Amino acid sequence: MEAIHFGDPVRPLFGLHHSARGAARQTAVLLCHGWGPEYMRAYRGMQTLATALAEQGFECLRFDYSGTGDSEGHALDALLDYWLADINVAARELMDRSGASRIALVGHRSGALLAAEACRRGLDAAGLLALDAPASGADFIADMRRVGEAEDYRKNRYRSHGNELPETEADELCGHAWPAKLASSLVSLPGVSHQNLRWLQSKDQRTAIPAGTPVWTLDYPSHWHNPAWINSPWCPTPALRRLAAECVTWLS
Amino acid sequence: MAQLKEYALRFGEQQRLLGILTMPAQHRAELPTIIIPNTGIEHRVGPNRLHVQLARALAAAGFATLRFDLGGLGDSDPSPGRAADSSQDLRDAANMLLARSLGPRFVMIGLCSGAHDVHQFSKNSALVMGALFIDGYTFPTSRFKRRRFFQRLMRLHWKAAEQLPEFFGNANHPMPELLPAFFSEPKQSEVAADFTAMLARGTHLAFLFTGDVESEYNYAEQHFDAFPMLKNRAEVWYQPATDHTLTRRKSREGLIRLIRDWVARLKT
Repeated sequence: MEAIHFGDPVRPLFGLHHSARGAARQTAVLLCHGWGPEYMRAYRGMQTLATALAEQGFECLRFDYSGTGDSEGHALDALLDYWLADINVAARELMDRSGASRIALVGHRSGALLAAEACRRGLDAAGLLALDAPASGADFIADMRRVGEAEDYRKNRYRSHGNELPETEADELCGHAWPAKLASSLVSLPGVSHQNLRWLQSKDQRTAIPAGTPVWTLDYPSHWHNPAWINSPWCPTPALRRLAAECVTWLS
Repeated sequence: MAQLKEYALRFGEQQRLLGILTMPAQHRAELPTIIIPNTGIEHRVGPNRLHVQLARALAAAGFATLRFDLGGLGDSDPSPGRAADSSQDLRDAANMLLARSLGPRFVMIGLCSGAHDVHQFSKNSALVMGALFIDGYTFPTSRFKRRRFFQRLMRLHWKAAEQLPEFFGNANHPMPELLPAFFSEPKQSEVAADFTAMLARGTHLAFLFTGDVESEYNYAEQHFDAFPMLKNRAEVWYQPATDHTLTRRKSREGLIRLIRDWVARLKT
């Protein structure tokens, strides 16, 4: 695994390139993280998944959108268009580094919405795997608001009078910057669609999946809607290794 | 962050650890280098990206800053065949920085489990000139217990029958789900001995406690009462309206200013 900065030198993105073990397959895999607390919860899981995919012969790249994680930029400057451009830049970087002839996308939660939107706007991807994707941008935002409010309630419940947390600012959500322009564009994102779509659904998720989409069910709850799990890891390693093995059949 | 430069570095045995070094536009060798390990299971960016913002703010003030993942967390691998050892990981980080002439003095900053990791490393290391612990080890005092009783009494009213169990039991502890369970707290006497040793070495100590640990820490002077050797020799800040993961931007910005100013005072 190689840590890299790439893209515009003024606003470089941070990424991690996982080289394929043995002969690389023709398809490389770009992993698109989710946002906010879900990004934090799933970070190690996405690393594990990328490692497992690399062991199966896939060149992989994970990266942080501009203004998030280790990438450059201020979170309050984040825009949907920037993030979609970031996916395209990362896809090119992965193609250049791997020599693969095509790429597939793996999107986690809101990352699946972004990956699907990037494809709608012209990114050529051989397939898209949605990991517990929300039904739409509006649904994702509603989920985050509920989690944020429940987390605040939980924290304030144990505080003495006068020590309550201050109100959340209009441009923050679940502790993360939430600029108005980003919010207004994310809310209009439609559900995930792709001509070669696969779906991983945790057993506690009830998202309506597009008809005819092959679904892999995870035998574990993910608790995306439960604030008590906001700081807990996402998914056991064996399940992610099984998922990587399924991807071999899917992308061959 | 115009003019700041960030470098992704692998280091430690078999290059198993990964961190991001943020360098100021012009590095001054007389300043200490800052090291920030993980908080809980969260990777090196920290809760709500705190460590990224903190590293960039400190670099803007002239301090080279490393934020990195301990073995088994984020993008770092555990040491093969050995149990997790955060002190070894911090030692590897310091050695890597020394090899890059980014030393010989370090300031360690840790939040939650990171504070415990910083404590365990700093108690034995002469390389550490300053250590800041955010929601680190706490110990009750008699004044804490009195205040705790009345705080719980005040919260109990007829509309909140659901809170009866927590008044009589230990269910009002908000932290079990917030704090990882993978550390064991040392005895108060051991921590006191550690502080004494660190102060004797000239290590600057600072502590910050947030409102999320109200069930463990509930008045500003509690740490001085629990550890009298710290009086007039350490900074203690109590911010009851701040939460453990710094979910409010104003809290994060305030904390970053506080840390930056404290570190700047150390250099003199």
